[in-house]
Amino acid sequence: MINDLRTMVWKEFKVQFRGQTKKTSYIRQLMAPIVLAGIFPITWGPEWVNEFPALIIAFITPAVIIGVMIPDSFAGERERHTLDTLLASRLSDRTILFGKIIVPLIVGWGAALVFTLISLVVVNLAHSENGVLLYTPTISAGIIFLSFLSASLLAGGGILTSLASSSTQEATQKLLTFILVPAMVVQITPLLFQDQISKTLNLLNGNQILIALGGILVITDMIIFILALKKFQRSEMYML
Amino acid sequence: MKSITSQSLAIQTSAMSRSFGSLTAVDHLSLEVQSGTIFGFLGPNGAGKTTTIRLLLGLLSPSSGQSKVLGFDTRTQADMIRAQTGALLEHSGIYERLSAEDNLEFYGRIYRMSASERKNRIKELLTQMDLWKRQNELAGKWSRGMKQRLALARALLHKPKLVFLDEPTAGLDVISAAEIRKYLQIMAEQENITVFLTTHNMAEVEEICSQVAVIKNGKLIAKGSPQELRSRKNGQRIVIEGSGFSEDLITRINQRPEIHLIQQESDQLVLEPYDRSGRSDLVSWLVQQGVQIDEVRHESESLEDAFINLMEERND
Repeated sequence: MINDLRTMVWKEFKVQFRGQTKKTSYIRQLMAPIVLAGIFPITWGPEWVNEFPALIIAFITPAVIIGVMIPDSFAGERERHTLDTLLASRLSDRTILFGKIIVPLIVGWGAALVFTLISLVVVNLAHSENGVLLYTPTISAGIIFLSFLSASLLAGGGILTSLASSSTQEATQKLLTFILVPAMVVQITPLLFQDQISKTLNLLNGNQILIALGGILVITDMIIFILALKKFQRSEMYML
Repeated sequence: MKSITSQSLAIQTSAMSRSFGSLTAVDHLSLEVQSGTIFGFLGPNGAGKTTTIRLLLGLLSPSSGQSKVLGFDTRTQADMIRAQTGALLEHSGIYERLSAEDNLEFYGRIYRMSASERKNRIKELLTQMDLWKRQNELAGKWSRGMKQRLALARALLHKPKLVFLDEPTAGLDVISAAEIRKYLQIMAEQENITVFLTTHNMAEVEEICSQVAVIKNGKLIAKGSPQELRSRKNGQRIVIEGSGFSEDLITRINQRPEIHLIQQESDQLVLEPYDRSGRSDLVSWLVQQGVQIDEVRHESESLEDAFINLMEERND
């Protein structure tokens, strides 16, 4: 299984990052996190290292990277007529599925860590009058774990939409819906339940909020991955 | 099913069926494919050929019936089947953003070939397919014929015991198709692999297949060697060149019980008797009727004619 996964990852890296068009597309998509990592820490000041906004980069970067990579996973192979041959090989369903998830996940999460480090360098360059600034343990844990969990959520959701699409374009549109609808709900809910939410948040400290958020993401990730495992079965791919 | 573990059979199916809702794509298909042969699987578009290949690869489960490939049950041992077979399906399945070598490298790794084994085998196959000098080029820039050759190399990479080839020469120019056929024959002979080939090209079937099966609407309607298929309904035509083929004579020939079909083209008469006996009697009878005969030829029905006849019979 591990060797097979390595093989899938090897192929996915080659296919994803080969070609000038692909590289240009990634660079264009990364402009938003690059600007955020460069500007936010300067405007926020030294408090950047112990405030929750530092987590914004850790959430946005994987979304941007995975949003570009994951729709191509199954829908792209289907579109380019390479999926049939892959399914006719000896690789197991799980190997193919996880091979497709791992690469966007690693790249998205890795980029999130790199950009939060860049923003740390920027805040130090701009506001390090009182010595070196470092992220607090809570923010560091948030960056490392929450960015991984949110990247997993997007990768899992992206795989589900890609599995259910016949083209990369269709998969991209479905993924946008997958991202935007919950984002709208998250934005509207505080307006509707402002009092209850502020009361609850007042009862919790920063660590507890992160743990609660992490817990919700872990459960959601598990549900998404179970759905993806159920959805991706060879015999299901050939139903008329 | 008789002797299902027989080593001599690469494929054995018994009343294998597959339905999608109300549509029966494969209907009680019983096949036996001998190991080491090139087996032609023929049928019109939508006959169920691709579904049959998917069933045999264990990508789909049969709705009913049994099927074994290389001795493995397609329902329960599909992983074993896919590990020991190669496939060139409807599309080449080549990754266009990868080089030719990387395409083969990927599948070599999938089939757990060692690094040295992969290196040697890739060089061997690409050299045989006349692609070695372009190994590092992106496959997406290649012609269809070159991609098909690369796909064939990929299907044969891990030295499978059986390869499924779904219309490997479709859409290729004459030279590319001939090259694919040549490579196929060489591979089958040198590596003793069984080839399960679907094609619409009857000349191809006659050239390389030792056994064929014909399906229509998912049902098997004929099987045997190409020669047997051609002579299925005696398959012989008598071409008589000469003069004196009057309308009255044609009417009288039509009344003869041994004649199945008659065609007249100026000074040529083409007769299809029901069986091979009584041909000399027929010629003698024509001479007695005053026909001036210059030449009598016996022609075999082509495989294409036999195939078309089979399709028309089933439409009747």
